[in-house]
Amino acid sequence: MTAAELLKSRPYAPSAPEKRAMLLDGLNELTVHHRRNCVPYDRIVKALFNGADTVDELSALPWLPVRLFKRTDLVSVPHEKIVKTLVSSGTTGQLPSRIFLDRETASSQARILATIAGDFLGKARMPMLIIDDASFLRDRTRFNARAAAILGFSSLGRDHLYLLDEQLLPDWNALSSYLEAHRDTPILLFGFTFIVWQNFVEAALAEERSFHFPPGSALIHGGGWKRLEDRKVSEESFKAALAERFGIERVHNYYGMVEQVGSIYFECEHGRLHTPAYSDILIRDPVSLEPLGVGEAGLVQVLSVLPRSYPGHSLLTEDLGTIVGEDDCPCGRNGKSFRIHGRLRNVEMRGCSDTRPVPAV
Amino acid sequence: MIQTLFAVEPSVQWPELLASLGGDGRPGPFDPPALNFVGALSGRLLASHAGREFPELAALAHWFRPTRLARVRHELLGASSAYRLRPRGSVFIIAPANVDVLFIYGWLLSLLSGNATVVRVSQKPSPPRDAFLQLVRSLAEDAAHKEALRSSAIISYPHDHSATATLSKWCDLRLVWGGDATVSTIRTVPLKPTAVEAAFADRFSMAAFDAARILESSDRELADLARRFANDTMWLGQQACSSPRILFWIGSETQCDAAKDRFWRQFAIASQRFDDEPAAMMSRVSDLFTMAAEGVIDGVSSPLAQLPARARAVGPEDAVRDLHSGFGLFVEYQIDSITQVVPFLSDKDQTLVVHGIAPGAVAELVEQLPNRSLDRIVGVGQATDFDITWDGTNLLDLLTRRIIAPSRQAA
Repeated sequence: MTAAELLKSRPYAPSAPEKRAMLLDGLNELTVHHRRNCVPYDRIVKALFNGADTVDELSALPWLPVRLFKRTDLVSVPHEKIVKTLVSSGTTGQLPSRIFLDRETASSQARILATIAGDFLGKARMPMLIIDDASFLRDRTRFNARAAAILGFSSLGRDHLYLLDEQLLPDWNALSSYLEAHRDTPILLFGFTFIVWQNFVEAALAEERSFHFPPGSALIHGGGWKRLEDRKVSEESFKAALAERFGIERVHNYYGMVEQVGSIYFECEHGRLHTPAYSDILIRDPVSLEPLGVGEAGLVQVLSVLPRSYPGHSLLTEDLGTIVGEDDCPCGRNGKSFRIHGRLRNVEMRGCSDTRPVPAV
Repeated sequence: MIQTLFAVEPSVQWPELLASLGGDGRPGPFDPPALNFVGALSGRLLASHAGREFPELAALAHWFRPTRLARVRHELLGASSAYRLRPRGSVFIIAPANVDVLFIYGWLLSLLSGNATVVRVSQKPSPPRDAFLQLVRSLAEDAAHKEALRSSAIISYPHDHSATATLSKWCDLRLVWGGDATVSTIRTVPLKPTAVEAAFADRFSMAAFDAARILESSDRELADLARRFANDTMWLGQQACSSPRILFWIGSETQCDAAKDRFWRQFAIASQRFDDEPAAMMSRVSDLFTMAAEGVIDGVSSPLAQLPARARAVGPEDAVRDLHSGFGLFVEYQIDSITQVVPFLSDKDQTLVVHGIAPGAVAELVEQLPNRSLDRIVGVGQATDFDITWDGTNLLDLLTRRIIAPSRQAA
């Protein structure tokens, strides 16, 4: 099976042995493609991976550290083929990642997102509430990872309402009318974890407001737990507050990154993140980089057969995670299931300088 | 928000603090109260728990030991000359954040010179700094030391604070340690017209080893050499400006390969006592990828995650300067003679650590140094040593003024 065929399979259908063989072929093919079409990538594979072209196991695939995309522009298609440049949000003072997509890669990304989300949410497009502001739609200079994620996910629903204004304050009246207008259909909500908490849940608490979303309404949220952890908000209390304040019972976290299109991992009803057929993860020891087994915490390496326009098919992230199991989640989905523990701690900066932290992506 | 980390009267608020540091009737350079205070501080540090816990404080205490102070005083004041020495006046020191205790050298030299001194330290927490200031506070309880400390304040505030402007108008000398961006920003803040400034920006350092000399050495000699080079580089995670990041091997390819093999084997043993951290490893590994992508290196001589990491250089060294973030990464070049480092040198370069290079060859190199490149050529183990001469400038010359006047003995 080729990468193209792999893209057609159902996201959580293939069993481990089937998936491994398909992925390996697809990823090996991408290594060859990128070496041929991206000089810096070819130099890396020669200098750091003994010029490996095709390998026998996923853990032997050449990989790139995600931070590299902040420092070097990596492209595997002629410049005029680029239709979209994704830019990571990045903290102040740090360089953003730049990811270059051609038409093919961009459209397969959109298709895959729809397929994966469909598995969790059903095929029908729901009315969609976006817990963010819409100003990025007017101001394309701010088209960063956050905007790209909102735009990408917004294709999953219809009749969009952007709940927040530019100060990220909710418009409760607009929400009331929206719920009134969509009284009988489940509503899809999307937002970044911290914004959902601070500008939706906490805002409603502070103003003593509560709403009743139609049964079957679902929230998809992502972006990391770090800032909620700092506030001692657990996943349980996050979910409990959404159920209590809004009657939203279905909450799916997702994990993904701008640097690897197609790597989109949804959390199932059992609180595990799932790898779809087109993608996989490996865990590596944070000191030796040797591959680790199920249950061992380490750095997350993500693999995806989607990135053709730039060499992002095998990336070492600076996130820490643990594989929980493979093909054995009680939710019935095949593929690896895993948890994310957060980001690697920053190290101090170079030179006789004062305040520049090492960018940790 | 100004935070006063040390002042004799901690209750005095900013900006009244500045007036409390005094202006008239300054002591002369190396007057007994200042000498006694610094001597006592050195002794207390060496005997203290802090000195044992933080080797950088022990090194500092050793540097400021009374015998050295007496020698420095003698060199400074003893020579009969056509001028008299007085303190510069008011000194504003901006300290770097990456080398926690570097500010102490500048502060103590300024205090010894008799100046009113305000040091701005980074807002980042620093356990060795806290331990040091605790000791200073306890010495300040002694009336004799209190007098010596009356003209000093150690403060911290955010970078954009107006205090930088106030202090810049107040001081007669501004000493800035910081990254290139910090130095450039501070330079835009005006000084009073009579004031002077010295800024110590980001620098880069290298080492050059003679392969034949390494091959002649016994394992034991190499073990000692490796231990000293590990101190030069692995201490502070290769973050000091003077820690070498590029290593030149001098000799034929065969000689260099054999020498590298022997040296790095010993270095691996010597560097075992330095811990690696996942984030440091990721930084080092990302540097390797960036250098490979840019064609600066064409291979690694160690597994990717290993500490230290070694890379074979094929590309220009200016890219290495830009892309190298330290944390135990060595980029290796092979050359035929020491003077072949000359084309590699730039204004950014501060220290060249050398081993096995004849004094005559070093002298020849010094004569060929381009523009303002290289301020130090030192032996292995001395890279991070403090010296009154910093980046080519004598700090005591900055911290004092020469008064042209007849001497007391003059008729």
